Amino acid sequence: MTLTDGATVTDLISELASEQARFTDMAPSLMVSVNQAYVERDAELQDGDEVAFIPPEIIMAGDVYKIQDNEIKPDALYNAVLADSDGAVTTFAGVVRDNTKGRGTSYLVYDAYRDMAEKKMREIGDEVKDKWEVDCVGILHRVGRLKIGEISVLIAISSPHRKASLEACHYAIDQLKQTVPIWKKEVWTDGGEAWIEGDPSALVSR
Amino acid sequence: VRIELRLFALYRERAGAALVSVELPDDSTVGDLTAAVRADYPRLAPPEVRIVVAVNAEYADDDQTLQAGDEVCLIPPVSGGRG
Repeated sequence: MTLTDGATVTDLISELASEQARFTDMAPSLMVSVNQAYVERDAELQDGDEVAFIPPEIIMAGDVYKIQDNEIKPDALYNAVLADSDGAVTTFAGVVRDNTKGRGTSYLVYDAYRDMAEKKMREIGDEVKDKWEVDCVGILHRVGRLKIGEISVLIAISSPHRKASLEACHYAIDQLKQTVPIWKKEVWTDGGEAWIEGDPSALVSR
Repeated sequence: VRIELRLFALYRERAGAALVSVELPDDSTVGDLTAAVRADYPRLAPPEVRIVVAVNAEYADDDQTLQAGDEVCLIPPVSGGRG
């Protein structure tokens, strides 16, 4: 498809909507990626860019390691990892708590080095498959501003027998907290805010 | 070699920018980079906290040599949480 120079994703959407009326209704809920990285609507497009529109509810069956801006939905991930040969699915959801050591939380902000975070998440999945007899691994982490009670991280692991997925899930979330480049800022009801720091010496360079 | 450094989270706020440019002699290492960053941005990290660097999406040791075109990011301490 050909657009004028300097066209943005928004311009592309307008162009597609003028050709396909249904697209207008779908467009607001779609995630957009350019050259396999999620972008905002105002991203400018270059010659030869590969643009993809991704419905948020769809997660293809199999392993998935994704950083996303939109709300995390457990059912979609559960269904993505579950196969007929599985006897168990263990799911872990990290959610936004309303306080840190008694200090009231207003909201959280998550930031991530996206490419590396997804890569590290995949490495955790590979490690877990090596250590335990599990089937599929799915890890989703959300970035941006999150409210109390919202899911920040979701891990779902399927296995033929329950012990493997239970243990693997526990290991996976502990590893994620150590090695995946994602950061959390807490904004408190008293107006203070801080990036929460883990222990940097726990990070082993490879 | 000119390194375009991506900053995230705490480091982005302290430096006031998401991307900073650092000019280094050829064959500089990651260690040389963090020393230069500390000199340019003394408030970025306390001296006792190691500045973790990722080069091309992999954690890098201090003795790794930097090349032109490397994607280099400073990794603030990861939010481990207490569990």
